[in-house]
Amino acid sequence: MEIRPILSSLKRNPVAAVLIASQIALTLAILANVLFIVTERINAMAMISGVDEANVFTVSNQNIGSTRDPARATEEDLVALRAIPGVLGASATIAIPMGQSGWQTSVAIKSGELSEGPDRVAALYMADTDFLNALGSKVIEGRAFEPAEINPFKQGDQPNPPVVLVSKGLAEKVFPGVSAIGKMINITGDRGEPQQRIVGVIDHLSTPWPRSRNPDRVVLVPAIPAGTGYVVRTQAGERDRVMKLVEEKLFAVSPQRIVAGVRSFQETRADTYRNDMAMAVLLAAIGIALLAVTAFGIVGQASFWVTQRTKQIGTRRALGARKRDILRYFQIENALIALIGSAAGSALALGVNALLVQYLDFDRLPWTWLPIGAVIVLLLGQLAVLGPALRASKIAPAIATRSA
Amino acid sequence: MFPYHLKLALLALRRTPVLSTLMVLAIAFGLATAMTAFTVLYKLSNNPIPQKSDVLYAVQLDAWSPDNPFDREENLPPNQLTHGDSRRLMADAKGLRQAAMHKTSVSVVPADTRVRPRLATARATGGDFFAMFDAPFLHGGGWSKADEQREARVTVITRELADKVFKRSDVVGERIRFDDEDFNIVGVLDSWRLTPLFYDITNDTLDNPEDVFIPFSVATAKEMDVSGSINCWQPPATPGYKGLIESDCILTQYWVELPDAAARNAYLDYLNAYAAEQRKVGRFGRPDNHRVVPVMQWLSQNRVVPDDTRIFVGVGVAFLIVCLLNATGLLLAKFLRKSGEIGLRRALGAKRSAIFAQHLTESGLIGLLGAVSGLLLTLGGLWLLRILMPRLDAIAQLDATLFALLLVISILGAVLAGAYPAWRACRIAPASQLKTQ
Amino acid sequence: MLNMQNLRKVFRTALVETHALRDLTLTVNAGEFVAVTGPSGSGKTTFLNIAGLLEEHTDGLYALDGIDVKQLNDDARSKLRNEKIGFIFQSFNLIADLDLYDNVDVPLRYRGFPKAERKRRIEASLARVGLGSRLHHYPAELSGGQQQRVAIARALAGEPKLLLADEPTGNLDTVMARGVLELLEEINGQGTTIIMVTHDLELARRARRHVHIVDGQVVDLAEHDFAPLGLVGRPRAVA
Repeated sequence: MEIRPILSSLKRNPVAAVLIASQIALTLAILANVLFIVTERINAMAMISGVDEANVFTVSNQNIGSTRDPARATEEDLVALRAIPGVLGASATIAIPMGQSGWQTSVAIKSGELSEGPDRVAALYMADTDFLNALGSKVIEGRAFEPAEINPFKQGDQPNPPVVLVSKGLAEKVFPGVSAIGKMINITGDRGEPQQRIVGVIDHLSTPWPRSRNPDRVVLVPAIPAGTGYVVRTQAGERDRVMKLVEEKLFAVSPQRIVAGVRSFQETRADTYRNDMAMAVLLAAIGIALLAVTAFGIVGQASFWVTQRTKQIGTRRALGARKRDILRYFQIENALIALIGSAAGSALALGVNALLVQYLDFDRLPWTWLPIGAVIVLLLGQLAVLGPALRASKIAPAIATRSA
Repeated sequence: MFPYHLKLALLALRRTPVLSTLMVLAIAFGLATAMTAFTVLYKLSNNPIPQKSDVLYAVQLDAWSPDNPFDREENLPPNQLTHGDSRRLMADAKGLRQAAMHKTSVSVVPADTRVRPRLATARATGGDFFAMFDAPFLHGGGWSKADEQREARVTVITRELADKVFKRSDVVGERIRFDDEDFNIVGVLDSWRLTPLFYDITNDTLDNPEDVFIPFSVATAKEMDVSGSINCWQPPATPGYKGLIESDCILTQYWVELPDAAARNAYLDYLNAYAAEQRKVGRFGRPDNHRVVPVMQWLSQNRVVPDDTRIFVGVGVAFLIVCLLNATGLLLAKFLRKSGEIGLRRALGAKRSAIFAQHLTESGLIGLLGAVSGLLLTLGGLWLLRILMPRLDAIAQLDATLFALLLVISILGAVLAGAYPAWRACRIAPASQLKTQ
Repeated sequence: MLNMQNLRKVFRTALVETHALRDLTLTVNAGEFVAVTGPSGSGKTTFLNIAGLLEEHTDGLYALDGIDVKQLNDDARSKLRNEKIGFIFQSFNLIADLDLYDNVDVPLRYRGFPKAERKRRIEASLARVGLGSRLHHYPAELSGGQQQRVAIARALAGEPKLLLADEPTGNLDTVMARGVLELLEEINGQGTTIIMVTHDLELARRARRHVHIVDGQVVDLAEHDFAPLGLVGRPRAVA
């Protein structure tokens, strides 16, 4: 291992090495951050909704005119929807998991308690007896709502029911280690005595905002909102067929309406994560292009700097170097440059990340990405230098005497 | 000398086709990435209303909870007003023009029963809205204060909606049915786009302006839904719509036109006086933090340009720098490889500056080629972006300014990248590399 | 030490076949100091390259220190070269980016000596050529004569049995050249076989044996035989 002489040699003629090392440094800095962001987004997109995604869709409905009693109209619509062959359940809703719009409330457990802050916040869904079924979720502890507990809900009302269901996530956070059944919480934000009794815990269900800090904290209140939206679940494979029938079935109940959108849950989910998907795709593409550019750049530059040393290589061979000694020389040299570049790149990556954290509300780069990125650029460099180094090893020893 | 240097540059490029192609492609990719990202940033940071952006102000009143600020991190007041404060400010009318507003929706029921009812986006707002935001009228105009006060069922619609419902656009004076009531069309707006849609940051700022405009008082009277964001630090005292609009829940946007600094200061004084008055009835429990915020500051305060865009730009620029460094390294190799020729040229009388210029020209040529390929790749990148994010359809488009920028950056960047290699080339001593056999 | 019998070397290209060496026969015994001269294109560089195992011969026998080199593969040749041969080149062939210490170090690294051993040899070798106090200077800081001395130190550090010198004084003025030659004689006196290729007939006279190569063949001039200048290829029998 002739590291010291190689380093010494590089120090004397630093320009070529500095150029390559700085490319590697910048590549590493970018790569580490890109890898971090891409994996973060992919993880976000893998979030579990708690919904039977392949078989659920939503209907956006706007009743025209005030001739019908809104509660009655909703009931008739639901009956019609549930009657469609293939439908397992239908419910009126103003929000669905990952739907991006809905109701957010604070959860307090004592009177007088300030329930501000992101850790006290939960999504609120209005549920009738069929809501969980329509999403494909279920109660895992305690009981579901009973029909008698469910009341109609109009805009302007403030939910203040005697009983609520909560998600597993919320139960574990607010009442850690014990059963949440029977506990009292306050979702009105009025700082009074908690009036809501938890009667059941449901399986994991996402809030409408899966990218928020606490996407699994959900409260269900027993209510039917006046029908501006329905969620429907079908048997496996039936979803598309049923989606096509919905508009005519609803019109059959009453034509005084606009059915503005029949969308599958999968489409809604894709919409919610469109940003993340775009970032992941674009950054991954940039990452690959970056590696390609750097690799080819090293190949090109290494080829030249190797040929510049043809006489030296011939001399070394004359002095007894074997072909693989020459190969190793350039591989070691490349590795050293890559290591120096990686060290500089790591510092740069952390520095840039620190700036991003301060000014853009970015997440701190986990340091583990740096060695991973360093290994990648190291391997990349070794791969790129292989060609020129092999060519160098083939330089005839006779060059030592035959060139001036 | 320049045409000679250009000819030499072209020859040199032809002699090393692979290396030159790699360099050009590298620059092109770096350029395309940076330009694609920058296009989006540029368009999103656009001033949507440059002719009025320094006289239009968003009003912020801090009537939030006494226990904590609306925005903990930056101690900002709430980004909307309560319904009651909006109505009061409109009534007092202390600015040159002002309008409270919120988004809602209406069901448009055409008289022609063959045409299906459709949902249309709507904005409930004061009559000053149109003059304030320079809304372009195709026919007719807005409504008056009197209309507002007597809750007249009047409306302004867009030409697109008019075309869809009436199959023509000169429909001023016609009646149009929203939900269960007829409205009088008093104006038809020409095609209008504000990028970004700055007057309502609680909804998608890349949306088009609404299809329908109705008086604020009418929306209130008809208890129309508020689309956007309703935010309450304590629940309304009474239930229902009435309770909501009398509560401390914020749900409206409020804009005011103040033509100069004097007007602005006067308006701020007015806000503080209003707050003092409200404090007497137990509201406004927080210290005074009321503001009037001009358009561009409003956009940046509300982070209308998503962080993702900035990240994308950052990565793109960094990538471009790598590509330029790459070019420097490759150009250095390329130039020094020809040391013999350079030494010979010097021996034959070329000055240092000539060698420098020759190689700088070569770099510039690569930059030019990089720009052309970069342009194609940028168009490709923008196309990809439009596919990945359809809501950026209008934004992810290259215009002449951006294209010119692309050209300049590419050539300048390549020349910069080639400066050191060209300098090294011109330092080669005359005939130094000539060999004797 | 060096035994060549009927050595042939042919360079083949698509168009031309060049016979660089034809039927070259030469024996050099251990301890000899042989000067090899010949006109341009006579094949003396090819001879040197083959002798130094830098090139392979086409036909004939070449045995170095008793080992037939024909069946040696590249690795074996490199090893043999490293252990038994020392090279001195006309243009010194020092590595500009390395200091004197590291330059002399190069063949020792390939030998595989441990660090202490290498240090000993390098210091001894440079001292022997009179440059012991300038271990960490760089070639560019030295005169031509000094650089060639470093090259000699490098060649000697591995204690080779055979020293091959290609125009060792070609790039030096008379004063420096004389110094280098005296050094070579000294080394030869201590037992190292030296084969020196040179243009300079004056120099060739100083060697104890003078071999002349013309058109790829040896014309062996007897020891101390004075050949007139301008000698051009008339083969003479070996005395």
